[in-house]
Amino acid sequence: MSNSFLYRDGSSALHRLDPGIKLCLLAWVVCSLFVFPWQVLLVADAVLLAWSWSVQLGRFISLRLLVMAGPFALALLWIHGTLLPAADRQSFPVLSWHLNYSPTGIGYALVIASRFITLLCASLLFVVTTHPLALLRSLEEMGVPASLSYLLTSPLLLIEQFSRRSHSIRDSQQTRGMNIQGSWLTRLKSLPSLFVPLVTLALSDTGERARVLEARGFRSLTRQRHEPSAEARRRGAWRKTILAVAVLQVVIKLCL
Amino acid sequence: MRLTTHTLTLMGVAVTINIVAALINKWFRLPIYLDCIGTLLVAVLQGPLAGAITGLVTNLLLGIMANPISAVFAPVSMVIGLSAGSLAWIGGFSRWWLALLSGCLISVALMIVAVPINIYMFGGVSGSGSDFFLAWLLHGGKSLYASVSVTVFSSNVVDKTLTALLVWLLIERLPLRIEAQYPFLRHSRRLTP
Repeated sequence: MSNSFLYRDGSSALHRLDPGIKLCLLAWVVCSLFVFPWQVLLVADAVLLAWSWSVQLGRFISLRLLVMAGPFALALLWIHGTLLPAADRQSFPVLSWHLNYSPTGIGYALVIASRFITLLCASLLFVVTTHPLALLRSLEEMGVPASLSYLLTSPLLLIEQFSRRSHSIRDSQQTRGMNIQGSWLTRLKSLPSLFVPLVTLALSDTGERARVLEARGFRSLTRQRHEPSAEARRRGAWRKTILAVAVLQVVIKLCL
Repeated sequence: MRLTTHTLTLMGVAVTINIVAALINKWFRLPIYLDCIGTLLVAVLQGPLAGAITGLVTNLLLGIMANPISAVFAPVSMVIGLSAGSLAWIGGFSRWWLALLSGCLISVALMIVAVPINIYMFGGVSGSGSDFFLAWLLHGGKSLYASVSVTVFSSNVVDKTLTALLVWLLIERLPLRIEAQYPFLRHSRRLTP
């Protein structure tokens, strides 16, 4: 299952930090995107990237950033800097040709690109250092209902099973003549021969799965009430403080 | 709509189908996403609310598993589920041509939500090949809002109509013992007594 995730094993401070606190920190970063100027965001990105290199995650995160944010930033500069109409258009000689650009458009592109890179950098650090199941356990500690926990957890546990099943359906259908190598029309016509058995099997399992859960008293279970440990209380206080800072900085920004 | 255990398990399975569909799409090498087939299926089987929750959970999980930007577009997936369920309720999946029409209407609904998110968060740019089409429209004098709307609609309409058609085909071929478990399906298919 770990192949489906971006999560990478490690023992860094961010790996050890409570997933709920990391989620709140991510929410704080999202709020900060609209508060701080693009120069501050880019410096923060540089710091985050430098830290990721120090804990052997730098190569993975930098490559992802390059692939996802590189074309995005270039397209932004091209479209907002040179294509959109602007009053402050200027001409810049490049060899025997003149590049028309708008400083306002370039400035706007830099704002959006820095927000995108920061969002991507922070969220990549979050997903790379947080195992989804650890995050779900933390959400449960934060009081997320059992039904929502099930909804978030069950796909994580089913993905491998469904991948194996779709592989075996594909192989059997190919022996029966399903063509996934022909023209696009042939491939399109072959789609139902894979999806129909996959979905029908999945729906058959659903009834059985629900009956097993009902038999175990899934819906009748009440949440266990017990005094939270000192550690859990401390984590809760940190989460509330981070969220309060995030909200406060947005309020200050709106008031100024 | 009451969120029964059966609905919960169905939604969990549908989210998995959404995620695995991306893998299947790689085998077929088709220029479509197929990432909302489970959402549409739940919407047709259980109604708009279940469809919306399925879409939301899919994007949140993709956000923590594969691509963090997916989480930003979670409201778009919710709208896909909501609109598909509402269309199913008025019989939008009862005939193949109605399913095609529903696919187009779902694309319009998702465009209404996706365009403001795309422009506000990402300046209307996606960093993919569709940016060339966007640039061509802008060069032709269209406004940013109109150009992004056309780009989002055109890059989704084929995918959503094909997905809607596939869902229609799936519910047409459902065995009797399964169809009886989903009363909402009567809006899309005459249930066998």
